Amino acid sequence: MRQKWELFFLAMMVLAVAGALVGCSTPAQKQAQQTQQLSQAEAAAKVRSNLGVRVAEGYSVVANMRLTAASLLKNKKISVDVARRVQTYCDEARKILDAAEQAMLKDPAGNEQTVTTLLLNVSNILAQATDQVMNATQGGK
Amino acid sequence: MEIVEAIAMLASMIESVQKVATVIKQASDEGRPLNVDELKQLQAADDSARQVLEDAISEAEAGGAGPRP
Repeated sequence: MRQKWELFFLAMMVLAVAGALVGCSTPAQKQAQQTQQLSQAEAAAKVRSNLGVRVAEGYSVVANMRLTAASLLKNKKISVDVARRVQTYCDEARKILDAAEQAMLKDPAGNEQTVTTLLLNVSNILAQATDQVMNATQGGK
Repeated sequence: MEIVEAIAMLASMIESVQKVATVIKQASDEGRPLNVDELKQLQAADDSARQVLEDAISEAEAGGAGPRP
């Protein structure tokens, strides 16, 4: 009798080990895996959505910076030289935004940090462009 | 003339902001991230803005414009 129980436990152990090795799982494990996969997919979608909005806002800020510079130039509030510098800053920001967009589309979750860093660079460049315009309009340079 | 130009410029800026807001809101309402076409629309809006500034620079250069003393 004792031998039968030992054999039964041994068989169960072998099955469990074999199951683990070949990746078999119980319905409960499968459900847990599916839930985890779903939550990972949801998390990735959320990351993608957030990054998309931030990249979109970046494009909007760059476009508005250019239009503001054009308006100030037409109204003779800034010089051609300053307007050109703003254009150059905006071009640089745009290139980075395009790179951020590509990284985001390729692998949103995997490139989240990269995209965030790129957007930070865009923010710094636009801050420099704003400084140029502010100095020119306030100092009459 | 300056006022007309300023209003046109302002209208263009408002249109640009509205475009971005509409695109983001639509995606948000549908519970999905922005798609490639929508991002391309925003890039196109920046391309137009770039051209506006480039034209303004060319015009100012041709007219020898600069900040008023």
